Amino acid sequence: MSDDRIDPLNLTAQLNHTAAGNPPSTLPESAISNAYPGLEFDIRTIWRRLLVGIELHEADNYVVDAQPEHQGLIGRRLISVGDHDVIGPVVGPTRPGAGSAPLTSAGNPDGVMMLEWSNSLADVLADHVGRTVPCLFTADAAPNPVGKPAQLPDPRFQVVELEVRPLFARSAATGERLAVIAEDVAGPGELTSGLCSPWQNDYRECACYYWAASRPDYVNVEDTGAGTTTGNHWFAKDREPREYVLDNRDDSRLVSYDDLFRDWQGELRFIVGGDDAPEHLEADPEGR
Amino acid sequence: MRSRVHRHLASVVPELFADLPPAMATLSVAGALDAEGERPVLPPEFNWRDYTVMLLHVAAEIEHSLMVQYLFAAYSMGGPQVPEELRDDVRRWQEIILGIAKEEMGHLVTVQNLLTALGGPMNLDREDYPWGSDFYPFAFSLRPLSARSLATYVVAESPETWSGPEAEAIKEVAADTAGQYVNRVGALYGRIDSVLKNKDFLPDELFHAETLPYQASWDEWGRGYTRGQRGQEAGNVPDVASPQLLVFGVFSRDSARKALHEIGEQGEAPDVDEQDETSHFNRFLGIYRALAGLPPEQQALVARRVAENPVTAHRLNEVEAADRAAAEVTTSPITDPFTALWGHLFNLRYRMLLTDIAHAFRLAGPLDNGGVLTGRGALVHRAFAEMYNLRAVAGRLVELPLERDVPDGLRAGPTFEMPYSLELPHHDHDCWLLQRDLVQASRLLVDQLVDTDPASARDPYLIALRESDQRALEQIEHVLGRKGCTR
Amino acid sequence: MTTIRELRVLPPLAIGRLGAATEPMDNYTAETDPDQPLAPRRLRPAPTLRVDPATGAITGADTPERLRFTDGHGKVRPVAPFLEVWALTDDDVLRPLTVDLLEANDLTPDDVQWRVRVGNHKIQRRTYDDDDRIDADTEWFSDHTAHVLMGLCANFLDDKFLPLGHARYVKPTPEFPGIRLRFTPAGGHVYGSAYTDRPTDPDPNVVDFLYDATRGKWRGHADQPGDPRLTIPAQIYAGDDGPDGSWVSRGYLDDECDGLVHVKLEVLGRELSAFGRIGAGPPAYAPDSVPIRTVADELDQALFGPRATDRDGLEHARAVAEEVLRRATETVRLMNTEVMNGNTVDGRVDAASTMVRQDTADTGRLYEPIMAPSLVDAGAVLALHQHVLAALRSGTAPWFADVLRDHDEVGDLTAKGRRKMPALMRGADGRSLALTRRQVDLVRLAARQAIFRQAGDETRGPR
Repeated sequence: MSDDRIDPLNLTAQLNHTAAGNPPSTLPESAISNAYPGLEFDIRTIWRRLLVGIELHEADNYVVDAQPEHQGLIGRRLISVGDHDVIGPVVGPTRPGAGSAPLTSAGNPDGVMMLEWSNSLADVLADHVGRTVPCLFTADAAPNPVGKPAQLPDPRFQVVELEVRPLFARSAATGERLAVIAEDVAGPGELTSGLCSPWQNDYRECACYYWAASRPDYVNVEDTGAGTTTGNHWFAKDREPREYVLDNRDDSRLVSYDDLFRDWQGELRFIVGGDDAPEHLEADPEGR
Repeated sequence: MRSRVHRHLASVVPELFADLPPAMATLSVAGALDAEGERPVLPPEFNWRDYTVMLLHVAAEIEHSLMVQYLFAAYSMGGPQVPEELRDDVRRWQEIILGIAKEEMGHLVTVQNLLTALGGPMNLDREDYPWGSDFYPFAFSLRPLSARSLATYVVAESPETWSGPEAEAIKEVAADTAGQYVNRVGALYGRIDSVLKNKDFLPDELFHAETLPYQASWDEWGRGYTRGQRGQEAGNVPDVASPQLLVFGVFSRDSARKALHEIGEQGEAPDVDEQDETSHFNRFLGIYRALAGLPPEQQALVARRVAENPVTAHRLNEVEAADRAAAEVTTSPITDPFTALWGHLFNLRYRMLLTDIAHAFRLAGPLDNGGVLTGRGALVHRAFAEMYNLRAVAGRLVELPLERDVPDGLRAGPTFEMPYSLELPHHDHDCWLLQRDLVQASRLLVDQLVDTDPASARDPYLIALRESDQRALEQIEHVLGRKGCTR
Repeated sequence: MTTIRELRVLPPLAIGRLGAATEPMDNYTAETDPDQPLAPRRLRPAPTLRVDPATGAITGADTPERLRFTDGHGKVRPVAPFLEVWALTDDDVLRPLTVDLLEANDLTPDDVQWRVRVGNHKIQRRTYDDDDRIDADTEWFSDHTAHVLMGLCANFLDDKFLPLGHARYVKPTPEFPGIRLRFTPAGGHVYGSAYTDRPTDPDPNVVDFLYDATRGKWRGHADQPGDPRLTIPAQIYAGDDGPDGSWVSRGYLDDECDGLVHVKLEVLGRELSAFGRIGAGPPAYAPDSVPIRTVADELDQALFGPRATDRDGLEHARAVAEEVLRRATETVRLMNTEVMNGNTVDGRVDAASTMVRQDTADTGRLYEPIMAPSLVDAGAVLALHQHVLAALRSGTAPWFADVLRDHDEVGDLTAKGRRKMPALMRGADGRSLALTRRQVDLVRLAARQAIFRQAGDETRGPR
């Protein structure tokens, strides 16, 4: 085993513990979390049951399910928990040189968006776990986003006290928190349920603005005489010419969905130091 | 100020020449505003366009000098001696002063845009110290932050209408620190505007809108700092508004005047307005009040014990009187050989910063959303990279001893010495040769640092700097090796 | 005697990675080269535990000469993590559970029992039909054979199951006396859905048909627009265009999963139990790079709250700042920033799927590049990040703290707002990525305090 002793209260050391023989790609640090929905896990799901009695959408401030005593909350929207809003404004320009204004639409008349749970509920978890906290909901079902009222009370909104559930399991011996996500927070299959089916769809469709460090985009990059760079798209079947083919699922120069379904292991190349890992070339000396 | 510029300034500040021989006095009168105070008179050896360019050169040097002095003061702040209860304040003040320095950087770049629009050569030069300026109210001097140095900044940025007991007291401290105060920055900008606004002096066609792709833009240089609106809170330090970096493109007479007006306004509040936290005057005054309110022994702890005007040149024991300021400005030669090498590294990276900015102005940005990328983006980023390097090297210099064998004496501080020339070669290829020269010089200095103190071989910053220089060299070699590169 | 009070499974969350090669991936380390701190992390082979397929015992821990991510024949080597059992003993120390420690408690390795429960609920998440859940359960075991994780589903064809890899209780030996389980994920195959009431065309994309497309709804399923329960984004499954812009499922499923590894042991008449979690995802294709925001950061924030605390010293904050920047550098190295910025490329506007396109599509914001188009060549952006990283290593403050995006600013789509860092990337709420609040607060702590350091002063500074 790798280390002899760990302070039982050092949860960071336990969370990041490298078991003997385990490479870094087994650690939570190797798993992307700007999940959309993610590659290894949809880690957003651990927040769905934070408020005891209801189940939230993992990526929306929408109540998808509830215990019998809170059935009425299904279909409504959560606006704030305690002092913490879980929505924020969406603002920006709509024409060049114009100032910024709320970006509203028929489907989003208040110009608001949900703020991801991990950040918006972080205080709630830190400060209120095991206790109840006032939660502001819309009074009616709300399929579309809804903004926060300027003043409360407002008949269109309702406050419901809900208890905050711990996310982590507790030690039976000491009562202290453990570094493992509690069993009732996510059962088997739940941390991956929101991911693409099959996952190859994500690789093809979701461009690198999610996860370039996990799913590379621009590889074999070299300098040009113009003081700029050129390189390959990771999905390029041929590495010559060394030019970036714009991502397009129908471009025959790039790996397609069907290529991935059939032979992703043969099509995709490991990238080390920004370049194709040499072993792949070795295995396939003729190139593609 | 250099004599070749100074001799033309009778046009704006005739009193400089009042005690000179009658011939000069005549010239100065010839150059002053006329009786109505409206219409400037052209001094000898100029036409109006060239005269405007000359005045903008002076303006650029002032903005540049202010920026450097404020940076020096900001870099001096901190250190392990700062008492715990003062640390939040010191960090906040540093952030404010750094913010003002960044805004001066915006002014400097905007003046270059004005020059570019008029078809004049840009000017990133300034005089080395000690230097008495005809316009800056005090002799240029790099001083660690103290109530005394702050007093000079407050006074320098103060509006003309500033008066009252507090004003008199601060002016007295400033005069005691740096000599008699005469603020003529307003006169300079006023003169430039009086020329710019007159169609008879500068016809519309002299403002070249087609130079916009070559000018600096807020999009390129603003780095997410506030544009125009009142600063929001910055992330570095709570309760400090982020700087408002003003970078204006110039494409016409009116855009030129607006640019000058805006940067003038940001510098000194035109009126004493206590509520206006955005002017440099009010921001400096706020720090001054807080600092001067501390007991003297605490005041002495906010900055490291950094020398004034540290220089690498081995002109030992030199004392030069500044040109015209009453107080003498002295330099502090760095005699510790290891520290001196860090000083040279600082000077070199400072030169690289100025070279990158000048070089970036040579290359156009894409005309629309895209087009074909040029090396301009790399140069703009390198300019910012050098700002980070300067801050890093300054961080070393404020910790290293000034004098050989005096380990507990004064610290050195960033040197900010000007290169022998900032002229770029005519051909782009040769500009890249210069870029290569500078990177190679940097590598030599890093080698020397390691030779002088072998422990430097493990200095994480020097290791990283050597690596980034290597990467820069590779990029430059690619450009130099380009086929068909015009010479 | 050292009495066992409690068991823990470490790491508490272990990631397996799919691959069809027979031999699992070698062990390696990915660390910064002190002589080239701006270069990618250096991958180096590390002691690799070889498990004897026959006995389930570890036969050696040699370090391979060089790393190979594939078997050389077009198959990826799966990443198969070990999960160790640790014991909290009555002296309040957490130590590995070994044969010796078991013996000291009058126990043998045979007394340790394991159970692995994993699931793949991707289909059920779309159809809301509980009969579409795929679950595997080994029940309790304490032998050392490989236990296949047989994914069963009410809507599967008769006698079909989804192989989700296997779990094996590694047989302890005198050389390797630790109690551990190895999870070997599946091969990474795509499976299909076949009809039972009519013929099904062969499909070269799938290795087998598992799902009964006549009984279940997965093949032919289409996410219904306007249903607030849909995944965000919706329609993220293999499919084809259907009527009215719908996206019709081909009925594909993969062999990813996640679940729990339970261990139990009776000590002095008391049953002690613990569990860890496992998951199986695709390979880390850039194994020397770390994403800017990771699951570890999420869990760190959930454990310690969104703010830096008294436990976080200045040096820790500085380390976080440097790590954030290093990760940003790694992302930039692998990203075509010119394209991702929304530049016009070869005269083509909106040339690729980018944050710029997403912002306009979702909110109606003006389509315009995020950064000044002249600035975003990938090499130039990478060099800038490297310089910032270099300067940070001098001990100066991470002044980029003031351009970090706050979590509640993600909807600020002004030019300034979109240029905050991390830029050009998408976060879990669909707009620009923000770091965790704890990451941001730690960087800011470093930014506030760095100027009070003295060179060589590595002690914990006060806050």
